[in-house]
Amino acid sequence: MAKGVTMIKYIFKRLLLLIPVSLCTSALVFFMMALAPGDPVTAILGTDKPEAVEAKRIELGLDKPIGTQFVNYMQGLLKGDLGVSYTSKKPVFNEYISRFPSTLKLTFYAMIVVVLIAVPIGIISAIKQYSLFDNIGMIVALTGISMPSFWLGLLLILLFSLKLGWLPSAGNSAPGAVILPAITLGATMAANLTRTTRSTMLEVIRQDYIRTARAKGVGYRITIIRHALKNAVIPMITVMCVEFASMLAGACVVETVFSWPGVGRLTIDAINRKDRPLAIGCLIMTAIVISLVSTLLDILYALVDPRIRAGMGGKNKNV
Amino acid sequence: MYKSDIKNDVHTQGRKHFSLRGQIWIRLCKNKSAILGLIIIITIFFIAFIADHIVNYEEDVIQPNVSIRLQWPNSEHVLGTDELGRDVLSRIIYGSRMSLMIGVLAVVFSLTTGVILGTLAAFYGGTIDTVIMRICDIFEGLPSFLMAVVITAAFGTNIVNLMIAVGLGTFSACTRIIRGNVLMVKDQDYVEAGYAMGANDFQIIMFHIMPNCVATIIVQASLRVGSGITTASALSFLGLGVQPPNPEWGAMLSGGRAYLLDSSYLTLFPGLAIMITILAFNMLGDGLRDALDPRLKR
Amino acid sequence: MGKEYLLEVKDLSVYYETDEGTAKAVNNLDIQLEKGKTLGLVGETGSGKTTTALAMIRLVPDPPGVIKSGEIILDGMDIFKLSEKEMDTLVRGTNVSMIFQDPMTSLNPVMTVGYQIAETIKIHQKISNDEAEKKAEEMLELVGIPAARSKEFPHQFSGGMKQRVIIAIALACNPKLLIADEPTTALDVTIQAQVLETMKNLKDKFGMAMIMITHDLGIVAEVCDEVSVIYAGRIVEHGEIREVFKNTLHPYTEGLFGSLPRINDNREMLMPIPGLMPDPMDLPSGCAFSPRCKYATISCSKTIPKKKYITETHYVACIAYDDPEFKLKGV
Repeated sequence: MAKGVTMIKYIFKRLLLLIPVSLCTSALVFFMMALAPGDPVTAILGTDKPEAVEAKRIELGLDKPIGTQFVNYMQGLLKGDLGVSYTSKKPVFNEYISRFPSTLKLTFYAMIVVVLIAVPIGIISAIKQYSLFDNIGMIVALTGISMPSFWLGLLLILLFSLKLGWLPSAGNSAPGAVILPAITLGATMAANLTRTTRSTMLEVIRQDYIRTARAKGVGYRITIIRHALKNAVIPMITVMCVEFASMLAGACVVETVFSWPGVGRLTIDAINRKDRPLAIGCLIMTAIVISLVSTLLDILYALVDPRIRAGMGGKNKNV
Repeated sequence: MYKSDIKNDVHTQGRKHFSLRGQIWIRLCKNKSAILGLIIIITIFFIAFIADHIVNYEEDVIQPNVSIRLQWPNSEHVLGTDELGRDVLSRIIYGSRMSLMIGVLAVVFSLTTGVILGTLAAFYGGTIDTVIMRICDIFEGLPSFLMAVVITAAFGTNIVNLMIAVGLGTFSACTRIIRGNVLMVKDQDYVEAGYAMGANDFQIIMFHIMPNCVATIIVQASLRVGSGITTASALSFLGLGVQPPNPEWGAMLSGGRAYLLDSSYLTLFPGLAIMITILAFNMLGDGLRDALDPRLKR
Repeated sequence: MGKEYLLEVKDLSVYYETDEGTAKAVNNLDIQLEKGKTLGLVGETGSGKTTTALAMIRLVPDPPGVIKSGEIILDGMDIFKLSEKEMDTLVRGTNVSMIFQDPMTSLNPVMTVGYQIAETIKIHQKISNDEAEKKAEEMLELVGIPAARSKEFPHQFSGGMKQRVIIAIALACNPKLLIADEPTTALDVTIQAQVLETMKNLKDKFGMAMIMITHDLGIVAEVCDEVSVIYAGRIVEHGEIREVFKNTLHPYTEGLFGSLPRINDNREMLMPIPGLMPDPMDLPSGCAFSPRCKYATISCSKTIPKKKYITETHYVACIAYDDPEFKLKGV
């Protein structure tokens, strides 16, 4: 059907757009890291005997001018080769992929926390605007976005791990180890999403078509669920996309606090240890993952909002 | 009320009219949490300002004094001493300077860039717009926190770089917001009228477009200081930001981490300081947003 | 009177209580409407017309709107005594339908028009989805839209067609009363004529009563049997069309007619009514129109005028008519 074909074309176009943007971001990251102060070679070798340093330089390809290094790197990137970690001597790509599932697990559980808490609270707060529930909800949400996630993490560890001994505080081996990190990662996002859900719902509830539905005899509850939510979901998808990107960033901090073996902690460690290929590789991979997810969400957006769908199909009869 | 009802049935002519600024101020004052936030912010600024006079930098903030390390709050050290024997209260007071400076200056940088680029992009459109938008896309390839990480890693970890890092992480969002605002304003009839009267581009921007963006700028400013402080303290916590012995709140949390169970006050107090500061800015920011655009009243 | 009224509104008062003050939108309003008749509710913006209409189906936004007094009897049902569920099943969409002013925003953008019509039908009648869809398509044909378009979305229709879809939704369950709040104000003049024509035909076909809320006296002349003139939330004059048009009684009504341009009138200037509508938060004492009225006397600002019947069907709320010799001077 015509609609299917245009949808595929749209998906293709969006995916195609991914590539130049990702490449440019990768280039940006590369140059930034290449400019980093501190010589990685001396850090690795632990010595600064000139011959050893020189030899290592040549071995790592660091003697060549920046331009050549960049081109080599980009060529490697396009082939899927992200270089080799200075510290572990293993390919960067493998290092990243091996730890990616852990981060994914963490993010997944955090997302569940976020959606299950934030969305209902946001909707109920909007429906019962100015009620006690609303006021308390908004105060809690405001506090939530004002709390740094690493502080929350430390406090949770202090209470539930050290003082009460209920939950583990590090690693991902023990059962239930994901609980505290997931709550920490999800808390700030949940606070944000609650506020956004509430304001989106408030906007939607004030629309004229809600009044039309009520005047038809559609009950209040059904109006909210069937008419309002359907419209509110659309801007919320955009917000969720932004939240997901923030989550991957937040994972760096949370994984560090909880010693969670994910890609976030890998990235931070790599930067601290001046393991340049690993650091650059992790950052680039993260950028690519985020681009992929946001493209997916864009496509989801188009599927859900008929106005965008029609814009693609060209069946705009507007008579 | 529904949007059409507002147009039709309840209107406000014939009543006492305050100036626009007066109305905004009144709305703001009615918002108790915004006023509370403002008071807290002024207090923190004041403390940061007089920090040098109440705290001796060399002795209390930096000088390690291992013999009195890890003391719980007592009469001599109201908030206790840290792992190197330094007075926690003094460090928190001094740390307010760091956080405020980084937060405020990062936002100033971010917004200024955003205003300039956003206005240029929206006003002149065409290639300039495309170029600026692509630059934003590239900087948005990574979430703002990671972008800040990259920049501090690249340029080194001093305060100025931290400010630039945090600023560069968010300028693209500011640019888009300002651009949207200008796009909305520049098609208004009064802009066309301005041209008809013979104003040039610069005059139009300064006298017609900018005043309509002020509200957006103010709201964005107060809201982003909060996230700026969060980013800065997170970076310091990870060791990528302010370096010891600088008394930055995030760095203090990092230092106290090893003593989480036995000296939990080391975690509690700096964290509270961060939270209260950010909370105050958020309350003020929310209040400003409600006051400047009551239609969006939450 | 002995007549069977479909709708009786007695002494209705609706206030909006906000932080900035209380807006008295509707004040002691009376309306009586027989089956099958069309009443025009005429007034300027801000006179309380929409609030009156919303009160009839109890959709006055609840903060800040409050029903201060009054009784609304519709087809024997006391509107203010029904539960919310009874309102949904017995009144809204089925006995009374209401259509609003702005067609561009009154339809849900993410649902097909066919669905939105069928939804009304399914709420009030126990039929299957397929049957409801069929009936929805029939309604579309009735308002002049090809049935094949029932699967399309609102943004694919023009303003006039959207308003017709809204009319289809309103009439889907054959209501006894249709309240139309300025249904054509937002449309082009040529489209206005078409939509009004559609409404008239359907009204005759279904034998509906209609309340046409408008500020346009031309529409009133076209479509209505009776007219009520509303000012500051009160009815100041009411009567059959011929009576009110030929023998205008209230100074405000006179002003409304006088501010219209007329083709066979060779005057050079229009005569607008001086002054502005009063602020509902700060209504003048006594007769709300007295500050702008050229016949006003001191006693006008002392008491609120009561209804005075000049003929069996034509009344006016103006104390000038206590003097049987009083006549308007003409504009």
